[in-house]
Amino acid sequence: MSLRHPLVLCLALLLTAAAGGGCETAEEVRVDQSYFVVTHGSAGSPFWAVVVRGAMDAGEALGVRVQYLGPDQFSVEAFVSLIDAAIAARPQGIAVSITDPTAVAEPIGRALAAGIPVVAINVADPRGEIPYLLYIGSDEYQAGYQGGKRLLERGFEGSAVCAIHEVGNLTHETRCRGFAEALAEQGVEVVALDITSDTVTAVEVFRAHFAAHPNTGAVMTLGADGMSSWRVFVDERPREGVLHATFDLDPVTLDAIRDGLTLFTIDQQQYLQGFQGVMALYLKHNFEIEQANDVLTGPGFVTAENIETIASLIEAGYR
Amino acid sequence: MTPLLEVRNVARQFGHVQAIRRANLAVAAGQVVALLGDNGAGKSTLVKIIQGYHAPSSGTMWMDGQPIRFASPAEARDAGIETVPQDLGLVPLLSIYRNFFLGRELTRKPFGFLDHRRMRAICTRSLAHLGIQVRDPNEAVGNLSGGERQSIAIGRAEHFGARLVMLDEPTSALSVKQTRMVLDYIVEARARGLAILFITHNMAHAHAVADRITVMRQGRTVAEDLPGDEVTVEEMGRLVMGTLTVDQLAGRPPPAGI
Amino acid sequence: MQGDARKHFLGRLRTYPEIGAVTMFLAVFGFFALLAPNFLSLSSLSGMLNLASVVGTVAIGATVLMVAGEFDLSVGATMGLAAMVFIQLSNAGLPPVVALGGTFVFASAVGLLNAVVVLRARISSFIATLGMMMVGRSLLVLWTGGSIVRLDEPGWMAALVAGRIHPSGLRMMALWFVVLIVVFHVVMTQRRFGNAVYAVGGKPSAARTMGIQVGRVKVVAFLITAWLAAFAGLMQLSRIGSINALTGEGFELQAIAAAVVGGALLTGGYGSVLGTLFGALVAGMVRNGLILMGFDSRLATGLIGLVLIVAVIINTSLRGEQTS
Repeated sequence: MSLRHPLVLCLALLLTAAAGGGCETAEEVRVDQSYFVVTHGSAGSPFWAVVVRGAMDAGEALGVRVQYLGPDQFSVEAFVSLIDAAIAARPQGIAVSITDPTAVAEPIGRALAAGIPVVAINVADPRGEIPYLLYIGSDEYQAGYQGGKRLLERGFEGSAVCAIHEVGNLTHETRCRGFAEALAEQGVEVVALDITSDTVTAVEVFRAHFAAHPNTGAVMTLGADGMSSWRVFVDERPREGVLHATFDLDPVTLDAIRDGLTLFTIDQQQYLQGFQGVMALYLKHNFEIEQANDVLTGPGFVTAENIETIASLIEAGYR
Repeated sequence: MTPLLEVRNVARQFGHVQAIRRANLAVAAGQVVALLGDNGAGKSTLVKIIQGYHAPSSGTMWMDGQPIRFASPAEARDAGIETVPQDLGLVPLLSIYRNFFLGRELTRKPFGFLDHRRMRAICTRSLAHLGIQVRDPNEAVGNLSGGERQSIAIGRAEHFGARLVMLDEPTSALSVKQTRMVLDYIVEARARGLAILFITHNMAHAHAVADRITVMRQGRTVAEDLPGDEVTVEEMGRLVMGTLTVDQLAGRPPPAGI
Repeated sequence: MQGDARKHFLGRLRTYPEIGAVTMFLAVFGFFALLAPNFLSLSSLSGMLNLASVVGTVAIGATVLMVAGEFDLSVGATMGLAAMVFIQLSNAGLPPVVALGGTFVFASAVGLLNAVVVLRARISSFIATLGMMMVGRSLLVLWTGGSIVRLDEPGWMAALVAGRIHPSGLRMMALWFVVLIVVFHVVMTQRRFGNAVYAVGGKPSAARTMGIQVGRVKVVAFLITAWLAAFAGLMQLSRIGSINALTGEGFELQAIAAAVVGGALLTGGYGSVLGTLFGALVAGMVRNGLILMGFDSRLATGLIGLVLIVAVIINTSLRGEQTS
């Protein structure tokens, strides 16, 4: 264990490397530590920019170097080659999203074999086969489940709808399953509604659903597309007394919460995925501290009470 | 009698390829002329020149004794030359009457909408007049037999004022019965005064209906205007293959030096 | 003779390409009218018409082009891009009429480009427009920045294209759709151009022999398709006030499906704009009816797929040897 102490490592580096370097204080030793965060998302996208922010903030707080790598356009091949690049740099740790478990298993195995600690962020390995330290991210089932609990607490009459705009999308279906099981515990029926990602279709699907089930009391949408379709629908045909909740933080959702149309939105607080990802690697590398379980960064709830705080934090890049 | 169409010493080259070296041909009204020749003998190029698709590189064509030069197929058509190509110019999925008027549809004033009723009536009447009975002008051409299609294509050409009809291999894909039907129809059309140029591979079919035989070989007309009933099927075949010359056919010894 | 009469009747039926679509329409309509509560309510009927309008408008173009023997898979991307052109011109403060003009100039350019690639480079239109679809989608993602883009001032243009015209929820776009169906049905059955389109798609060599300008007819068919896609994009935009990078995605295949249910052959030369109306309506009816009956709405896409197959079987068996 003591071999991994910064000072010892520093000495070892000086011995192996021909070129000299400063090793005066522990502070400066840490600056030579380098951590990588590699995901399938572009650092330029609104969502991933927040992850990057969290990782960089952790690096600054700990006094270590942090680099973010992500392909500009979604591509598993490009993503995997970025993981290879990170391993080649021999960092003190790598945080990876397990976007494609079969594609990333091999490079992660190589990193672990080379003694580089790996944590999973944002997307876990559903099979649990890849031996990363821990997963830091949201749990879609829990998110749906907790969302359902919240709606039940608020109280409504009749059945509920889980409006899926991408039927078959694993994330969406899992959210719906959690939502439905939370409501089923109280004997409330949940109808899974295929609203498609096309708003014109979605509006007519909502209309038909309310014609067939006028006693619908709550609606859950699963992201920006479903949210904007619901907004178009209720603007045209207001549904008094129907509760609505959704996922993610996009401008349409924030407006709907401000306007009182939407009760809350469920957020995965991805800042924590970047921050905690670097933190966990740092703790492992320097002190051999391993957390025993995964870290759930979500569900976080944004409601009318904290909306303005959250909105300013979105502006600042933390949410 | 002045021939309806006469072709003299026509040649045509495409780049360095000499498709036709010297073609001669004459066909009169009320006459069936069979144009025989192997693949690549220059038959199709000659037909395309008469049709107005290609201009001859040299040589002259006359119609009714007047020299002519067509700048486009439309001009040839206006002059009364219609071609029935191998695909017959018929669209199988379209009805008989729509095919009949294809590209020449009748319209109604003032909006220029198609006059389906008149087209159906004229199509039925005109085909009946030419001895072609159609059950229903709405029927798709694809449902008809090969012989029926052939007759409709020829009937259409006649209806639209053709004086010379060029039939490109009309019997090549037909059964014996269908072939008989088309040949009978050619004979009837001749009786109505139509000039018919019958392009074929099949010597027997040519022998059955042709008044005159013209043979092309390697871009040249090697036999012209042979009376159909004076040449046997076997002799026709040898003319096409080049194993018999016109001079030999006439029983004269070939001139020395060739 | 009874047999002859029956044969004659069937023979006549064969000449109507919309027979499969009408049969399916009546069957599906009858089924839901009997079994789905509120199916015949005004709001349900209006909803189905609204549902059919956008994809149906794209499908009219798909039908004309398929009859001409070509495909256009880029229509979905064209929808989004055309709407984006309208938004940009409109948000820049130009009057709606100018923005509309600009949108159709853009659509004409897309149609011509498709036609040139297909006809000049002699690439199969399926491949060429698949490529154009990918290019268009990519451009749309970059142009929208992946986020929702709003029309600042919807104004009278939005009301004219997609405004509500009846308390039941019936919208202008349904009216436009029906008008476009009638117009293009007339064009295809009562105009010389329509006859030429059928001939060009059915047998190009024969059409050429009969003096039809095959290339020119196809160019016009590509243009019509692009114009209708652009108009469908405007319907979408007017209806919801915004677009995003995915606007129109999947419409290219839904449109082809509606055209095929309506009787169009993938091989060209056969099809009916009127059939396409029924083809587009059937899809909306299935989606609506299933929900009203209380079934899982996730079945809808699959059921629409079955309707497609059955309709084509009906079409093929009635058409008999004509297709062979």
